[in-house]
Amino acid sequence: MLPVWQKVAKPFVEAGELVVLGVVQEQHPDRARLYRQWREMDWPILVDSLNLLDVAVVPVPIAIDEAGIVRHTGLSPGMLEKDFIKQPHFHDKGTTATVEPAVRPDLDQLRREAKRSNRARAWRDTGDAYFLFGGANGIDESAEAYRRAIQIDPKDGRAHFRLGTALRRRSDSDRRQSGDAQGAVEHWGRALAIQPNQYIWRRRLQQYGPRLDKPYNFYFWVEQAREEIRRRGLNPIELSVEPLGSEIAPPLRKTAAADIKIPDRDPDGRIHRDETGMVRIETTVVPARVQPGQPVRVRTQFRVNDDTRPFWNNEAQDLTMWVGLPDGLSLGEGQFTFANPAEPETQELRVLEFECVVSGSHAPGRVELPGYALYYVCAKKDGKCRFLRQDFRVSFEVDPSAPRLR
Amino acid sequence: MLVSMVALAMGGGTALTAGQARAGETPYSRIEVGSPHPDFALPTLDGGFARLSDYRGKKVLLIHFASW
Repeated sequence: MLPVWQKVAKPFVEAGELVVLGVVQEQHPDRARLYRQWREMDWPILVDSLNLLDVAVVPVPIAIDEAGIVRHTGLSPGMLEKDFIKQPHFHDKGTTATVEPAVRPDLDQLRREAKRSNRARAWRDTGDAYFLFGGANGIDESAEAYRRAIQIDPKDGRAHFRLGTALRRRSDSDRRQSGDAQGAVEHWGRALAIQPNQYIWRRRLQQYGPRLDKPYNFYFWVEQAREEIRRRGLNPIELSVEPLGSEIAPPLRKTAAADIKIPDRDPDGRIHRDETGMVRIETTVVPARVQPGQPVRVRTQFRVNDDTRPFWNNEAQDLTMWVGLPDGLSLGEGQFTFANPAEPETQELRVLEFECVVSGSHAPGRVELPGYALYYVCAKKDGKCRFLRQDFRVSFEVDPSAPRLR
Repeated sequence: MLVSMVALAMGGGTALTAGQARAGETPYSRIEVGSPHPDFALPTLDGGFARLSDYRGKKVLLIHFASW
């Protein structure tokens, strides 16, 4: 749809008769930058990661005249010239008042005001302001403000969605805190339970969720875009967070039991544990609450310690992972081995994902899966390489009232 | 189409943000043909901010889309 609009609008934009203003719904703005570069979009594009405008579906074209009056909400490309561009009477409507320049808000003042009034809306607004204007440090303040809003009004779906977005943003940054990614999923899920018809919120969960719940493969275009941009002799815009696993996986239309045996390579627990935390493991289950009979997708990510910066030893065996499946869960699909890159030493983020399906007769309550990973890692300080084990747990809630993702 | 202009809708003031905005509390208010589109400000892909009202005096085609 967008390429069609681009083509149709281009002559009017070039003639100065039209401004096309894009608003993109995107958790990761640099992916929208790559998309713009690939599609050669020359419009101004605004980013609405928090869904501040409450757009519930995309794409949506809205035609607005010179006076700021909405003229069409369901314009098709074929209507653009006749029904909008060439409508002279629009010029006579309203005024073209001078617009004052925008200024950055006083964040401290906003927070003080929220604290004084202790209204949910004031805290949510403060969260928005810190997210947008607070820079790298603002993400903590933003998350805290949204939490305060939710404490006052637990049914504020927007606050839940925006807290999820802030937590996910922080989990992808150097300021990440343990549990941020899972917290994002939890709050997106709560938002969707409050507003099940909000498809932008639904898509945010589906982006990271099970293939069975996907309407399409979200970021399949990234590699194609990079290839085409390079063929033009340009460098593709770099992404700070590479889409991996679920984000690029194609959808599945029906449940298929995986024919995967997960080898238990250390059943007696004899391998030394990673007691110094050379590798940080974080698991995220999407969705955080699932109905019986529905799938969850588990993302297990392995990140070398941010402070000590050890190296993966790629001349040894691949990183492997074992997960125990309790009764009532079946494996849908999964990747349990991370193939070593060709370079002898690397420090990349490693992600393994698997899906399991909760049986239709599963009782409500907490489900826990035990797991461990085995890996070869070398200390940066003394170059010593070790074969280590790290145990982890995966947990989620079986809840018959949980929102379904599809 | 349901679009609510909540946070960041600005009532003719100069501040960009929610808390200082005269934002409507009505959730999911309709964008109606023949009515003014509420103003809003959002970050641009290039690091600045832009408002709908920055384009007053021109015909604007506002396209909400996603890159996924």
